[in-house]
Amino acid sequence: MQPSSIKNPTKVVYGDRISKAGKLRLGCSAVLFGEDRVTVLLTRRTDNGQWCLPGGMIEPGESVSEGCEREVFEETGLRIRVVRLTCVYSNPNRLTIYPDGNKAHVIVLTFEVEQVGGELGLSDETTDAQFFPVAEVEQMDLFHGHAEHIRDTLAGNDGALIK
Amino acid sequence: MRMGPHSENRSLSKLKCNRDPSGNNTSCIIISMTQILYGDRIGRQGNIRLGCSAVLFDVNREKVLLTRRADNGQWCLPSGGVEPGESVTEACIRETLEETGLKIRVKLLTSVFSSPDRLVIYSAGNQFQIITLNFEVCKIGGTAGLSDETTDIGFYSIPEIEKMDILPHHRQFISDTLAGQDATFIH
Repeated sequence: MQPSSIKNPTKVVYGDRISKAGKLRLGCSAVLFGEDRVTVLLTRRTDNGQWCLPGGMIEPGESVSEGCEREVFEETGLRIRVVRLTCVYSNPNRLTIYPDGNKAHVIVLTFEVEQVGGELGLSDETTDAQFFPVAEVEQMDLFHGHAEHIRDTLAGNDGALIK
Repeated sequence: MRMGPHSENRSLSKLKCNRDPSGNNTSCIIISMTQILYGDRIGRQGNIRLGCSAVLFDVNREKVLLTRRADNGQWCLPSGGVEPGESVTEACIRETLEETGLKIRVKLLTSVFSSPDRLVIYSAGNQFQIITLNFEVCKIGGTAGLSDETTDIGFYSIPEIEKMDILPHHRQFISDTLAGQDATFIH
């Protein structure tokens, strides 16, 4: 049996200044490359089956680095450390609509991270987690924008991109 | 050792006081009050809010643009909240224009400040852990002037700023920006 949320997954819609209709929320995503940056860690979402980067919302009472470390651990079992901030995504023409109907203008901080411990495993939010060749990722059905997060992180500029 | 939640409590308030003819009773109405509390993980008591701030140097990169807040006399960088419907860059440009009259362009994201040990209280039930993105910006137009929220504006040197009453994380942003590195500081 499929979980009920699969019929009503989180949606992302695009339109001129459409994010005005939502509340501002701050999230993070984590790019963890394998050796030599040939592979990248992805997880598979329970809600819609799409592959995505580990990540989630920053919670009150934690710093952005702590939020990123917590989300990666919850979703993959891996202990990580933030290496650098690679990009800020704040496109106002993008609105996220959650299964409960709440709407959000999600601003995402993408970090390149490195593993410091833990073992790759699964969680309630993910049905799969594995490293994929970076070259294959472009052809996969990734969650909205995550291919861009990987591309921008791979570009490896010292300064964070501001989008 | 970490400080307790009320060990450094700053009240930023604006009071309007009326005295009756006898001069005995004074009633004060709080027009606006912002409190900043510091303490271990105190940010937990609020919601996350995203803000931005701008470091604008003078032509010689020796002085920084600061404004003085009308409500409490404290100095600060041009700054404010990011609103739904705008990008972080647009928010920084809008806030700087509103507070200083200057049109700017964003050059670099120098710092992310996200301390969970700081809570900003605007009013009961309206309290936030503010996460701030600090940008180095450059001027592209406009003339510096005052707004309803500011009583003074000017470019100040680093030795001058050291002696000024300025928000602690804004001091950090100025020092991060002066470091001149491309990589973003993550606080």
